[in-house]
Amino acid sequence: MSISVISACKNRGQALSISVTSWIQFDEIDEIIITDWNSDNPVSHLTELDKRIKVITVPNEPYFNQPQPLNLAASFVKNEYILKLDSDTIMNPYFNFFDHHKIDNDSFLTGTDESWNFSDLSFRKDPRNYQRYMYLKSLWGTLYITKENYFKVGGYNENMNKYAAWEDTEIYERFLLLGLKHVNIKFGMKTLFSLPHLAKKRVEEFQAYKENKNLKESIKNHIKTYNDVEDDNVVHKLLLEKHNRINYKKYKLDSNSSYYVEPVIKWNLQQVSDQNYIAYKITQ
Amino acid sequence: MSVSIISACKNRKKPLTISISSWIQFDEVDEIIVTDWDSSEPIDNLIQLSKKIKIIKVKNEPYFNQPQPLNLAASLTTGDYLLKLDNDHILNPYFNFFDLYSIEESDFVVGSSNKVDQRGMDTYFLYPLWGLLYVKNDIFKKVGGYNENMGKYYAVEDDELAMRLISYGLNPISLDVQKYTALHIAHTDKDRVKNFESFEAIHKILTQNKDNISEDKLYDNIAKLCRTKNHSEHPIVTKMMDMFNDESNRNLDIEWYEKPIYKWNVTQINDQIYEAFKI
Repeated sequence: MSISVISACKNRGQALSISVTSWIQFDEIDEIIITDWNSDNPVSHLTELDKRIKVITVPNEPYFNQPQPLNLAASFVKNEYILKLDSDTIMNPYFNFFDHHKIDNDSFLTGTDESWNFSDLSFRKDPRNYQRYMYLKSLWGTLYITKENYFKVGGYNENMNKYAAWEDTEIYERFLLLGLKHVNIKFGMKTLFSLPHLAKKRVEEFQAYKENKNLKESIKNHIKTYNDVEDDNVVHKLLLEKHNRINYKKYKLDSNSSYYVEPVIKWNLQQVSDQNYIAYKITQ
Repeated sequence: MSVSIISACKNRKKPLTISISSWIQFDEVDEIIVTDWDSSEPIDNLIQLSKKIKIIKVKNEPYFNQPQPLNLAASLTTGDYLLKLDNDHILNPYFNFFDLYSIEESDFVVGSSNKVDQRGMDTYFLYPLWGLLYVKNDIFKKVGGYNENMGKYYAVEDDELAMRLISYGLNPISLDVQKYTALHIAHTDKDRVKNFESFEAIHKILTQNKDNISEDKLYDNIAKLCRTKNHSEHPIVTKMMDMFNDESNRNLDIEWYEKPIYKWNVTQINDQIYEAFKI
């Protein structure tokens, strides 16, 4: 079995330089393809850690998104299986992910949060629920899928580039429309864990966070109605949920939706060294 | 302020590679000294990750213990403070340990013995941080460091040192694991106990006439019995902990100095690699 890890990074070099040392310890992983989305401190040096690591640097991108850099990384994949990991997801060398989690061409696996109830809006609006948020279980960005199925649906939806979140649930729903069986990551298997960080880290690089300040102000006003919650971290958790909700409303699928979404971006690629590349968007 | 990290390793290269990648990221950390206690796979190449890392290689040690390699590592340190971490302790770059614990000279931070059994799956990644110790370097050396009489059995050497530091006059601060400054890479109890000298004997005791015991339960029992054995062979530790836990009559007036047993002949191979032989 040969597996390609893909990951997208913007200003998460600290976490990535820890997590990538865990990924390279797995013989099942043949290649690790990281798209560095114009980080202030580039991560191209990570290729020195292992021959299997490739870094694609994309300059001139002021705001982060997941779909475009991930699809770019996926376009490099040579292997049969793709494992998408976030920069802060660590693979535990003591409990082999690939021993505990199996997929085939009829199935896929994600890290859906078992404790979260997206359909209950009143639950999601109550800031007190965000204080119980489990940092270590932030694995919902994990995706394990065959390369064939990844490209059958067109990869991640590249139109979702302004707000944080939902792109992982959106592709999950398209895999279901394709007819694949969903398998959940069991956190209890201890195969993966996430480096805990503040919620601000999840949203601060996105265009909507930098340009739409009103969203944050309205959330601050919202939590003033709860006497016992005055926490900047809770504000950002709620803000992330707001981003998630906005994307959900715009991109939600129904049974008539197509599982295929056409990629938007075309790339001009230049190889800088054996393991380092630069990619420029081709203007349409 | 300068901090020296010390750690002892025997056949834990995989978790150490991950953890040490986190340790090197902290500007507060000037040096990281790891004693490699005769690992079957050498860890020398970790020095390529940072100039801060020094490895002391010790040969011909079939069994692991913590006190001897840790005191050896500490003997090479130059920092104002010592931070002792296990090979599987990650320092989280997002929540700076040194910002949270800007301790006074009269304080020390311990991973403490938080109970593992009541907090769900997160426990495996948070609570086994009890081997963590953060203390002024000169005081660590003044009390003689870890007790080198201990080490045949897994565990308790951290509690023993904590009690002597308290007896010396320091104020213990328990690590608040919910602040996420440090994380533990989860593993089985088997990985915890298998490299110790006592392992085979205890394994034999606990498997006699018990065919149906699960592997997880067996190794949990081995870890518990190691703690019990350590307490019975070093009754002063039990006495100290009883005195400490008796808040109404806390009088920890015991000998805080423990003389190290081993002397070392240390040879420098290059800027970052050393070899050490017991004299």
